[in-house]
Amino acid sequence: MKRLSIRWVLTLTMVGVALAAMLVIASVYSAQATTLFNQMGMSSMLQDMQLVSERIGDVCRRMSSVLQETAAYLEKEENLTADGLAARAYSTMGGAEDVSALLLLDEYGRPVAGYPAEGLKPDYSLTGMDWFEDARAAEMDRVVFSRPHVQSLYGNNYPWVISVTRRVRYTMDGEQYVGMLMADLKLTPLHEICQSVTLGSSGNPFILTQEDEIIYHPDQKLLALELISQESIMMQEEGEKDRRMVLSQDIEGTDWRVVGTVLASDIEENSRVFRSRMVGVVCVVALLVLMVAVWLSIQLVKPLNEIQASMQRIERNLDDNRMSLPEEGFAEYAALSHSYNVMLHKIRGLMRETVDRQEQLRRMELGALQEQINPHFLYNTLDSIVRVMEQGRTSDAIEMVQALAKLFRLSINNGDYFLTIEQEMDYARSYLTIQQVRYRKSFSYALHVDERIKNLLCPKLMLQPLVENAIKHGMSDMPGCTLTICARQEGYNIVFTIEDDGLGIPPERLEQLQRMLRSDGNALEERSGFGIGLRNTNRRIKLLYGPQYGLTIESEVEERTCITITLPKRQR
Amino acid sequence: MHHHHIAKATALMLCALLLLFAPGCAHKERALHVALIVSSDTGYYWENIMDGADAAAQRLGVSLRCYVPDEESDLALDTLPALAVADGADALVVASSGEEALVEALRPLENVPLVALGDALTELTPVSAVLNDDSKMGENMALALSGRVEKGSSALLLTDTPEFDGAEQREAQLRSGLFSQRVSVSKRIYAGNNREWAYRQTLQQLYLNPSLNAVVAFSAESTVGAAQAVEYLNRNLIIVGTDVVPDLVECIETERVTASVVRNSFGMGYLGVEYAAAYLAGEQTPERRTLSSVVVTRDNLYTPDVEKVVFPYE
Repeated sequence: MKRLSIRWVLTLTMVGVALAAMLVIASVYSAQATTLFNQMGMSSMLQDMQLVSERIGDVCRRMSSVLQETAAYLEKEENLTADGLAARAYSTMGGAEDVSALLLLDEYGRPVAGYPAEGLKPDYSLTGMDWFEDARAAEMDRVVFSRPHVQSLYGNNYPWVISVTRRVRYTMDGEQYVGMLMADLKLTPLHEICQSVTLGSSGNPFILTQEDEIIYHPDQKLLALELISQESIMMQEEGEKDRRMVLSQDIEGTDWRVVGTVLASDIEENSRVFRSRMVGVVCVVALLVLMVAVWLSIQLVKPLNEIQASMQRIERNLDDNRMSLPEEGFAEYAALSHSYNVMLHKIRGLMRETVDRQEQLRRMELGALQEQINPHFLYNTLDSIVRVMEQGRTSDAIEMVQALAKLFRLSINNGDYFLTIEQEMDYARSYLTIQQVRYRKSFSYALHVDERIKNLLCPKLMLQPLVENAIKHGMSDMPGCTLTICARQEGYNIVFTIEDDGLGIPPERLEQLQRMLRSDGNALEERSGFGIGLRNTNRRIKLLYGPQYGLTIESEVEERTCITITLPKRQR
Repeated sequence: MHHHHIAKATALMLCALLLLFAPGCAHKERALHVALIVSSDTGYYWENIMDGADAAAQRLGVSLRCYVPDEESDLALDTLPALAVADGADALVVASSGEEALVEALRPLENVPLVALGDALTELTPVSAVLNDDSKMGENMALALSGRVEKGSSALLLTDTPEFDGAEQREAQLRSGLFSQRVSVSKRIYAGNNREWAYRQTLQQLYLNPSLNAVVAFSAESTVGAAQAVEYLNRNLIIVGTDVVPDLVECIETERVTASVVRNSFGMGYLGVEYAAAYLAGEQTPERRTLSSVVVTRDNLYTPDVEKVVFPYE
């Protein structure tokens, strides 16, 4: 299985965590912002509607005010003249560009006086026209706003106006009359006010009466010619995906209302923009996080790669003591390099130790072999065999030759470094057999082996030097001694004892030997061959099995000497 | 290896960002280009067609270009369709007086969607045809005379087409109505939309035929010209006209013109462009749409239903 690199794991983790955090934050805030923006959007449109309503209300109030002022003048004036009213109307209208005419009509809708008088059709009556009849039916002091209509009083000029009327009493030529005061409001100011506000993408507000008759609409011509229906400007159209809301605001002083249709998408526009920007910000931040993560992972992984490359170089050249990791960069990497260098130092020490140990073992082996084929021993043995044969002790001679042969066979042992305990005891037995003949049987010996451990292994020719020492230094000058060799198990160890009841070792010498054995034989004090045999055997065992194993010696002068060998159990 | 992966991931992220922030660029579409070809650009009928087409183009966000024959720049009517297509028109909206050359010029352009205004081009199988109720107009004109002229009277007919070949429904229906009232057409004169020409021709006919009782005119200007001629001679004739201009309104108010049948030519232009845009957008459009005319008299001139047709909002 392909393993992920630290760089990828680090990069993906950083980006993933950053993205997850940002998405959680974005989704929470997006929901709140959507609600807030929608409320703001709706509030803004309602404010616009309110503004339009107030401005149209102002226009209407101004028109009412013009009528009320003029009506007050008419009712006060006891003898009204056409010129007087025209002058009054002109001054009342003042700079009001919204008003196209201010006329006093008689009861039948014929102009009596007013401004402008020029262009008025002679004897033209408005009687019969629906809007005039509605105004004429109104109460005396009430101001009435007509539907938009074409003003037909003037020749060759047919403007669309809203006639604002009020029934009045006036006196002319001494006669009292009831007439109609009429001010014509152009549609232009309504158009301008409605066009000044845009309700999202669905257009401008418009003006309806409470009975849904159109006073002003931007598409009034299309509506009039039935090219679009009035339902289509108010209702949700078939197939229209967007939800449409109708906002309505009454205009004070009239029975009109400002109406606007708003698409839900327009109200949600700000929140949509906010969301898309938030997505953009998340993407930009994610990109930045990605770049930072890539940069950081490169910075972190680069020294690791360098360490890895250095380790591979060191691995190939482990013996080169000059090579080590540079302890620099981040603290962790410096500590890692330091630990590696320490470990490397220890490994190299252990390697040197192992090489030394192998070298010592090789020397021991060589020494053992040299002892084994000691030419003096061979010469003396052969000389003894000759003497025995000359004395006619044929059976002893045969026994010695057989023992010598066995000795050689076991010492060769196919080149193996270890013998079974049984073989090692046979070797000792053969050696003792030869020595017993040489020393004319001045000592006796006994060998005891625990049957359970006969097949376990021990270093080859381990006992022979110790046996040789016992004969040579303990028993050769003291006939009738006994040498006893035992091999037994104690727990996980094997214990050999080589004990004789010979001369024993003087206490100073014994202490020297014991110190030598404790100090692993390094403090070499060689005064006799006895010390060399002990030291070599002890060092061989310690090198093979560790410092806790080896030889101990105890002795009492003219009583006994006992050498104990402790080894671990080793199977074949 | 890892560097390549990271580079790829970064590139993908950048592409995603580009797509995110450039949706406007990706979705920007070319505005539909509609060509309006008209036989003339003067007179109530033609001007209102162009106004209506313009209103629709503005409302629907369509690019509109008008093509009108122009003698001064040697731009003949039959060259206009090819010119419009060469200019990149996606659809043609054509209003004609039945010129054969225009029909022939449109015939090879069958791959370009055509919306016909009026019945002159219906033989070309347009995607939609917006028609006047010509038969009803003729019938209404005859009815306007009914009861006002005696049986056996004669009427002058001022037309807007050079010849009557029997196929023109308005005139055919008018003649049928007059015939049923025992009113004869004493003279048929092509007056187009020319007030002066109509005035002179009416004067001449009134001199030549003192028993003339009625004048029927097929355009607003010729109606006014006829009324002026009748007024000049201080004669009492019944005049029935077509469409409306301010002078004609005054004539109706003073009853010098008994009635005028007003066509919804603004609506024709509007619907022509609307249907062309709808067709290009892949929507269903009606094969035919007939717009009603309105009979305007002194009595109904300022009623809500009539005044919004006679005096359209500006």
